[in-house]
Amino acid sequence: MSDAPRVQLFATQTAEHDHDDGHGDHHAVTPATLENVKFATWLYIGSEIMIFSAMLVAYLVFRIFNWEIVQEATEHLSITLVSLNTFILLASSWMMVMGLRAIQNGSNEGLVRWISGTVVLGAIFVGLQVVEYAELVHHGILLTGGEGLSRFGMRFYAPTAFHGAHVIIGCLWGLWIISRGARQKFSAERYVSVEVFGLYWHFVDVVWIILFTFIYLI
Amino acid sequence: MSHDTHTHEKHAVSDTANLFGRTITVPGGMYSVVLGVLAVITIIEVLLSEVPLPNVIKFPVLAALSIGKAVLVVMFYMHLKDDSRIFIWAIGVPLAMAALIVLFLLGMDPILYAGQLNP
Repeated sequence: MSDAPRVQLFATQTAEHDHDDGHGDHHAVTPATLENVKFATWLYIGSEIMIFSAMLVAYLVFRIFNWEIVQEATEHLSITLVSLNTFILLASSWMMVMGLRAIQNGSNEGLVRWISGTVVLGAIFVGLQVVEYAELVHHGILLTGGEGLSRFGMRFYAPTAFHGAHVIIGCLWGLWIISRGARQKFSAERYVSVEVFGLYWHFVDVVWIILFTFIYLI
Repeated sequence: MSHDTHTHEKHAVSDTANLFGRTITVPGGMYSVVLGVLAVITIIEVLLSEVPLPNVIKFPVLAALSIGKAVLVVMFYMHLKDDSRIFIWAIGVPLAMAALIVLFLLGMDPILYAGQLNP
């Protein structure tokens, strides 16, 4: 028998609410609520996997049947820049998990410090992606247009920009976590929002790990 | 114990990590070790992509390294290895479906992709 924690789905125990109730929200979360929220997050991640898979397969199919266009276009992709961006996102994931560790040890200050690092690295990632896009547009790889390199552009920008949008959303979410951490809203017993944010951020990292290999390296 | 004093399960909060039977102390513990492994694999991937190898070799090796990195993040940073088994199903079922769809679409007869062909 597995000794892994069991999920009590849709349990109805009294739970904390994730809003400001004017008394500071230092109530702890029941185990069932925590597990339910995490389960819902995993289901959400599952749905995101389907969306990203559709975009990735559209790119791969295009690549198979338009090898010359893809080869010409990928000559303009800067592997150095994108590799740097990959390291940045990996480091941001590490900072995220260190932030979670800090709050598990009861340190809101540590949480704020680490999540700030996560957000800064996320912002740098998006900034470098904009630099990369500007370079590609300069070489004629556009989002629209039915000919030549732009046919590649449509398939390339869809998954990478959609991922970039996820990073931007993650940065905004991170700022919200920071603002709550700065007001001591979390504690060693109460950090569900941080954990859910962490799942989202790591998922965004995982998506990039896959996109980096299948779009830039292969 | 009341509901309000519940203590969550905490993951990897020490600075020690068990590697191949040896316990080492690193700031950040296992999380930092995983970051190091991810960085090393990424460097190997980038170097490998520049090596003139046949695609039939390069493609599966790079894909395997990439999937290995993803599994490391999911298991250690997303704590799936310590969490409830139902989370594995929640992510595993869509992942399996996505993999099937990807393989099906990649394996389809080229004639069905007439609109995708280079004019």
